Parts: sequence; structure tokens; C-alpha cells
Amino acid sequence: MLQAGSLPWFAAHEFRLQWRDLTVMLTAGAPRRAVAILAVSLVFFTGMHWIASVLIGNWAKAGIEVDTATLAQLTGSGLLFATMSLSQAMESVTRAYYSRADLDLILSSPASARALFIVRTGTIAVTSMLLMAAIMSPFVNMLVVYDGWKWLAIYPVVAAISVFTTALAILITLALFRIAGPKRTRIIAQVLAAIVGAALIVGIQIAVIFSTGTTSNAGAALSGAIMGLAPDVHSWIWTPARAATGDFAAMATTIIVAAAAIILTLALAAPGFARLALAANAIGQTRAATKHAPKFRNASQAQMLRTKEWLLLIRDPWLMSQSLMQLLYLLPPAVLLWLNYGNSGGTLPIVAAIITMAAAQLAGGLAWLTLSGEDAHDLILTAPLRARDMLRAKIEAVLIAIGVIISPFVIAIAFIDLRIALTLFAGVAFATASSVIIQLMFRVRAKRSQFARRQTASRIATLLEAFVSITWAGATGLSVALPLAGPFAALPAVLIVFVVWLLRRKAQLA
Amino acid sequence: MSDYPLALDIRGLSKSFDKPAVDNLDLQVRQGEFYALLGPNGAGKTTLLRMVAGLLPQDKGDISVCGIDTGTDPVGAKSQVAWVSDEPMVYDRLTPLEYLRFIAGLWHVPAEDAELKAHQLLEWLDLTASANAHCGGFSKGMLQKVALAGALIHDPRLIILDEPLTGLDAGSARLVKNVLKDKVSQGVTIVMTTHILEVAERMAERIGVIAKGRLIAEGTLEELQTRAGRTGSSLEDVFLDLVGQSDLGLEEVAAA
Repeated sequence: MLQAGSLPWFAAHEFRLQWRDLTVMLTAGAPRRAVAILAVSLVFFTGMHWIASVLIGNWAKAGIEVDTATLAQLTGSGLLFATMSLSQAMESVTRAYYSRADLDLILSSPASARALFIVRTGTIAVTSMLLMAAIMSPFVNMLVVYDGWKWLAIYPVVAAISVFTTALAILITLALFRIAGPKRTRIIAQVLAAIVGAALIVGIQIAVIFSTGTTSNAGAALSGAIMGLAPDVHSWIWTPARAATGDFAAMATTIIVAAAAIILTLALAAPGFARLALAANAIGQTRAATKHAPKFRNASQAQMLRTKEWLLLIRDPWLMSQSLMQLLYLLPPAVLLWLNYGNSGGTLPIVAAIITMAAAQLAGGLAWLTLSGEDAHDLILTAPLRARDMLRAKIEAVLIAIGVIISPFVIAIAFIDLRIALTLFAGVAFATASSVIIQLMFRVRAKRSQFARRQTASRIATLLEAFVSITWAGATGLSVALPLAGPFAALPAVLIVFVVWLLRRKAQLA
Repeated sequence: MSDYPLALDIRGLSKSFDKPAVDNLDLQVRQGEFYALLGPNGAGKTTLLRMVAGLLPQDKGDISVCGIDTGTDPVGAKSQVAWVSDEPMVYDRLTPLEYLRFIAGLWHVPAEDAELKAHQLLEWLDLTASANAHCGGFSKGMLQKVALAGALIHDPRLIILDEPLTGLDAGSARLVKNVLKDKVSQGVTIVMTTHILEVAERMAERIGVIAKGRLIAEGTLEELQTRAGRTGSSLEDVFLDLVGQSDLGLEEVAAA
């Protein structure tokens, strides 16, 4: 029997909650659903192993030499995972301070807030660890199959990275509390988390564009640039990478550094957790205000609904950052366009594909916010307007926003080549429409604050949206390069959207 | 005001989920009447009112609002109704004035009228000082008052309130009750559910008691007292008698 309020007691409590969350998410009350999800996951996992085998099989079969190139490659992969892990950890750490769920209950009890913080930090690290391990496992397993057991060492390195990024996330949050105060910390941390998550990929692309003028040979250019700057194979910089190759001393160093980082961070942060959590709680009592009273103008119901959607989006910096994060991915094509303006025939297919992808993803996010994330569902439903008029107004709000964001790119390309601009316009229009249709068919009753969890709430919608976005992006890029072949590439997306429309419409009518 | 005598006319209404929530229910409420709907938890009150507000389709039966059938002309019926629930339907990042402008737009209230009315309502509900503050930081009472202002800005003929006083402090509750009384005096019909029986006792002209989805008793307080054979008793005693819970907890208390 665990002593109530002790560290193990909190850990058991947290594990029980996490486990029940997971069970509910998997089964949704129907145990058969879990079996189906497990079966699909198994197929997906097997498929990922096959892809990993194709990608790294030849390289690994020949026996991987631990030279500077290999260490640079492993370090690059590690950095990529570290940014993802840091992004996720920052989001979770912010939630640990700000989410009220059971915090008020626990903080008002005589139990130790320090123990709770340590357990919640551990949960964040373990969650990040498991996620990263799951993503990497097909590649790690294939390395083990082709080049030996030593590659299993990647797993402890992943664990160390997760622990280290969790510590870093806590330190960043503490620094923000000190610099920006509890009121602004939440939003800054969440925006930072989103930017960190995308920054490495976007940064690499922009760096490559500046050095080569295109992204198509990014890998080669990047490795060339890094190899030019790379230190000697014995440099301490490669310690985590060497640890991943099974070097025991490097492994011990990596684990010790991560453990020290988390222990010191906990020693620093845990005593002040209750104070900061209470300070975060107090911000709910403060009120934001607008400077001017709104003007009452005669407007249609649709105009009112559209204005409301835009106002709510603009006023919520976190939602803005989350949904407009896709725009970060537009930076590389924007730079590419700028550098190659007037002479960019070879780069335009890539630019068109990226813009289409960004438009589709952005449309998916905005469509979820307007169609599902309505904070006053009942109010809208009791208003004297037909359901289809309400949906139309909300969809218009999404389409207009996408139009405003994407049209500068289309217009810029129109000055280079009108046909390509029209192709891009069509690609963006179809991709946006597809994302909106998927969100429309899978719409749920949710709060806007649940936006971050929308992907876990409906995995099917997320997967379909991703697949359709990628397909339309590919089809648009191909259409720019090969006008006759492109449209055929879009057929799977059209087919999927049509099937979704048919099946879900039937389900909704039923 | 329409000459149609009934603000709400419900005939043979049924709705089932796993079991019947509303079962073949008839209910008529006159124009300008304050009607309180009482019932134990799970009796079907909210389900009934959600069907009237157009938030839930009925399985069977007809609902007519001021003579407009909700089945054949749902939009026309909705334009006559305002719905206020215990969870205020307010946007965190809109100010009360922006919220009222939004609702006025949805209900086609001309802008000039809406602006004037919005300021009047905010003053009436003691919200003028917070008119340009985001609703996100408001207390439950303030949010409920903003929601009530939203319900009143389009001059509804029928106001449906589902537990509107839950969580309100005494001052806010008094203010809301005064607003409702004033509306009734202007000929507006109010149908309200509440667990605060004293409110029903003081404010309602007629009281309906619903249990297991059926209207088991209806009338003025005196009529209900007579029916329960408890002349002069409080509504609480009458209500508990009618729903068969009058001895609830007594045995346990006695045993303790």
C-alpha cells in the first residue's frame, strides 16, 4: 500500500489517469475498436519497417562506418527529434502550470506540490520518449537487422534526449515566468513551442536555398556544407551520436548529462511550482479589453458569422500561432521565389507544391475551428437561420482567409507564367476544398480550446486530410512541370474526398 | 404582439434516448405568462426545452411557438424564441457589446435599434463598466447576465430559461429576476426550469411538474397544493409529494 501523497502514490495516480485516457481514446467504449486500431497500427508499423528498409537497407547492409559523415547524419537526426521533443515538452510543461483540471484540488490539499511536479515532469519525459521511440523504431530496428545489435543503443539516447529537452522546456518556461510574467508566459511558450517544432526543417530549407538557389538538392548541399564545417571525428560534439552507435563511454556521458540536467532543473523548479501555478491561476481573474466600442452596422447573418470567426481567431494568439504555423512552411518557397524571380522555371513545381500543401493544411485547421470548435453551439443553433446557411457562412470565412493568405503568391507567379499561376490557383482551390469537405464531414461538437487535441480526437480525419493535402501538393507540382500528367496524380485525392462525402453524408443523414 | 393566445403549444411530444426522456407530453403556455417547469434530475425538463428551442429534434409530436409550427417553419419559430441555459453561451474573446452586436445581426435587429438597446441592456444589467472588456475574465454571474442581455436584445416573444439562476450571487439573482418580471409585464412569455423552488413559488403564475418525461401536475400553487392535499404547505413539500420523494433521506437521518 502506497503512502498517500508520496511520490510513488502520485506516480500511480498519474499512471492510472494516463492509462484510462489511453483506453478511452482507443476503445471509445467499444473494445472491438481497440482491436481494429491495433490491427491497423500493426499494418502501418510493418509498412514503415518496409519503407525504412528501402531507405537505409543498402547503406546499412554494407556495414556502417563510424566516420564524420555518419556522426553528422546521426547528429542531424538527433537534432530534428530534439526540436520535436522540445516543442512537445514546452507545450506539456505549460499545461502543467496552467491547466486547472485537478491542480486546484491538489494544491488546496496538504499533499506535496513538489512531488506532483516531479511526477508530472516524469510523465512529460516518458510520453516524449515513447513517442520519439515509436517514430524512430522502424529505422532503428532495420539498422539492427542489417548492421547488428549495437544500434539498439539509439533507444537510450532517445530517452536521454527526451529527458534533456524536458529539462530545457522547464527552464525556458521558468525564464519566461521571470521575464514576461505569468500572464504572457503561456502564450509565448505555446507560440515558441510551435515555432521550435517547425524551425529546424524550415531553417535548413532556407539555408540551402541561399547557398544553392533550390531545395531540390537540399540533402547534398547540406551534407556538403556541414562536412566542410564538421569537426574531427573525436570531437565532443559527436558524443550523443557516438553513443547511438553503441560507444559505451559516450553513452554513459550522454545519460549522465541528461540525468544531471533533469535533477538540477527539478531541484530548481519543483520548490516554486505551487507558487507559479497559483500565479498562473490568478491570470484568469484579469480582463483584456478593447480600446473602442464596436460599431453597430447593418449586416447579413453570414457577414456577422464571418466577422465573428475572424475576430475570435485574431484575438487568440495561441490559436493564431497554431493555425498559421503552416505559414512558416511558406517561407522557403517565398525565399525561393524572391531569389529566382524572373528565372525560376525549374523551381516553380516545388514552390507550387509547397504552397498547395500549406493552403490545404491551413484550411483544415481553420475549418476545424469554424465548423467544430464553436464555443456557443447552442446559441448558433437557436438563431433563426438555416443550418446550411450557417455552414456556408463559416466555410466562406475559411475560404476568404485562405484566399487572402495565398493570393499574393499566385499573383507573383502570374507575372512569371500565367499558366503556372492558374494551375497553382486550381491546385490550391481543390486542396482547400478537399480539406474543408473532410472537416465538414467529420465535424464534432468541441470547444476552440481543444484545437491542439483535434488530431487525436479524430485520427481518421487527420490521416485523410494529410493524405489528401500531400496528393494535391504532388499533383499541383506535377501539373506545373508536366501539364498533362498532373491531373491524373490528383485522382486518389478526388476519389477519397468523394468516398468520404458519400459515406459520411449517409451517416450524418442517418 | 400576435393575437394567437398560446406562446407555446406542445402536443404529444416524445423523445427517447436509451429510454423515453419525454413521453407523449402536452403543454400549453399562454402569451405573457410566467411558467415554471419543475422536476427531479433526469425528469426530462432540459430535453423538453431543447426541443422547443430547436436544439433537438423530437421523435413524435408537434411544437408551436406563437402559432408557428417548429417543424414546418423552424426559422420563423426560432426568430420568436430566446434560449438561456445554465452554461452561458458566451465567447471568451468578445466583449459584451461585440457579443450583442453579433446576436443582433443573427436575429436581424436593425443596427441603430440594436446599438441603443445594447447600451440600455448593459446598463440595466449593471454591465456598462465591463462593456468593452473580453468576457473571458468574467465571473459566472456576469457571464449569465451577458447571456441574458443577448437573449433580450432581439425582443423575443418566448424566453426559455434552463436553470438561469444556478451559480449566481444574491445580487445578480435579484437583478435577473427583476428583468424577467419586467419582461413578463410587457407581455413576454417565460418558461423556466429551476431547482430553486422558492423562485418558482414567488415568480411563476403556473407551475408544471414533470417526472419520467411526463407532465404529472400543473396549475397555480394553490391548485397544486389542493391536488397534493397539502393546503398551505410550501411548494417544496408539494413538489416532493407529487414526485414521490417526500420521505427522501428521513429514514437515513433517523437511523443516523
